[in-house]
Amino acid sequence: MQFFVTKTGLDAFDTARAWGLAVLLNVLTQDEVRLQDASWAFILEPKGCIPQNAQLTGLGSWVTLFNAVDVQWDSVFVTQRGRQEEKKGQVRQILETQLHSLLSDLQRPDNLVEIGSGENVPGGLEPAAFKGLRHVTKASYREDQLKVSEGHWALSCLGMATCGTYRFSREAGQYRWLVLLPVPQNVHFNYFRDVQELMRPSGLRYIGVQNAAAHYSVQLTEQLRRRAVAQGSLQDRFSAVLYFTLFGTRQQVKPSQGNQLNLTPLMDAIQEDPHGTEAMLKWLDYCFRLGATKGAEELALAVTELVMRWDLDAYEKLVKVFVRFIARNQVRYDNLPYERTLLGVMKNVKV
Amino acid sequence: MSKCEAQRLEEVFSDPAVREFGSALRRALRLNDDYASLMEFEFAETPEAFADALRRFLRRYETLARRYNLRRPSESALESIVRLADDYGVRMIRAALISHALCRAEREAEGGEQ
Repeated sequence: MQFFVTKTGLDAFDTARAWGLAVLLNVLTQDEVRLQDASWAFILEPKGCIPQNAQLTGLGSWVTLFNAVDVQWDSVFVTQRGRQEEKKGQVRQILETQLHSLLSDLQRPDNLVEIGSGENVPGGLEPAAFKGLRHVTKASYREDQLKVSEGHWALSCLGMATCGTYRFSREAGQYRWLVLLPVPQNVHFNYFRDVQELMRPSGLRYIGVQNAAAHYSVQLTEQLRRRAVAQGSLQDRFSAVLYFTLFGTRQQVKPSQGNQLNLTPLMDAIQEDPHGTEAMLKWLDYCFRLGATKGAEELALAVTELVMRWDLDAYEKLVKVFVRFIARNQVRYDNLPYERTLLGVMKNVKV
Repeated sequence: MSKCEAQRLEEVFSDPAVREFGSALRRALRLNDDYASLMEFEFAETPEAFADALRRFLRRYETLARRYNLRRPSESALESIVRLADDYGVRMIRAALISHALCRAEREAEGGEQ
């Protein structure tokens, strides 16, 4: 039985809906859900069967999603302070009451999200949902909220709360929320904490959102590489990491910047040789960690550029900067890369 | 596809001439703090300027090689690396050369050369 999350073009909203549906199907079947990106839609296929007259109410794993501390409801609704509990309850109630109609709707490949009526997409979930970003507002600030149908809204909130990563930190001198969401390409979903584990916070002080997103991408790749080694081959692939930042003005939370980081070069590398890429990822991780220290911002920027672009310019810049750090005796001998480590990096560089 | 596109960075990195000069650059940086050569490589934009920078590096390296009894890059390696810079551009050769300078020296090989 296949389910289709037809894309709307709102990247974070679409991806969050796909994760939300995966969580929902996982709770209902208590089994693995396969998630594939077919470019026009995310296609989900649960391994187990959904019981006739299935109910979410009373299921232990369903209740956990609304009580566990690591499900980030408050962060998803960060733009609706004071109403976060109410919104969380609303998500739960909508999914419990509209479960069967929503699932039958999502089984049609031509299902579409109705935009313009329903619930407001929260800014903590989709940065394009903020007013003033979609249309020219000219002199008067009269743009409507981005509203979508209730079922899809609830699915997206569930997906973002369970599989998204929110990190509140001081970056480049300003406190902000960094929001990250991995985009699945071909994933076997078993438990939402497996996805959370891929984006574990590192506790480093980053110099910008790109720097943080690039480091999280390397960490995600390392986790997948370890799984690939344990399982014999790469089972799960992610196409990108969506990232954006939110910052607090005096009264409101606003988006600042965002983009997506293409994971294809890293995924290809670990698919081809999961054992051989260990040293490369370890060295990149070291560059990020050294780059997070005071005075090493240049290294952080260089390694970020490489992970984002994988071209000769970026590679050359990184080796030039790294050699200067060796010159300043800031790199211990044990942390120098082997030739084979650099060969692993070079394999991914586009010339 | 041009020859330049077909040639990959990793192949240049593994070229014996680049390896020979790269090892010498690594030793020059670690034993003699020869950052002048590094800067000259960075500023070289044409194959001719790069070849001049390599020759100047060899002159500086000579003193170090005498002091520590190190192996010098051969004349044929110099010709070969200059030809590579002509064929594939300075940037790729420079990136490969500096990569050798930053990577961990094989202790046995280094020891054998001394």
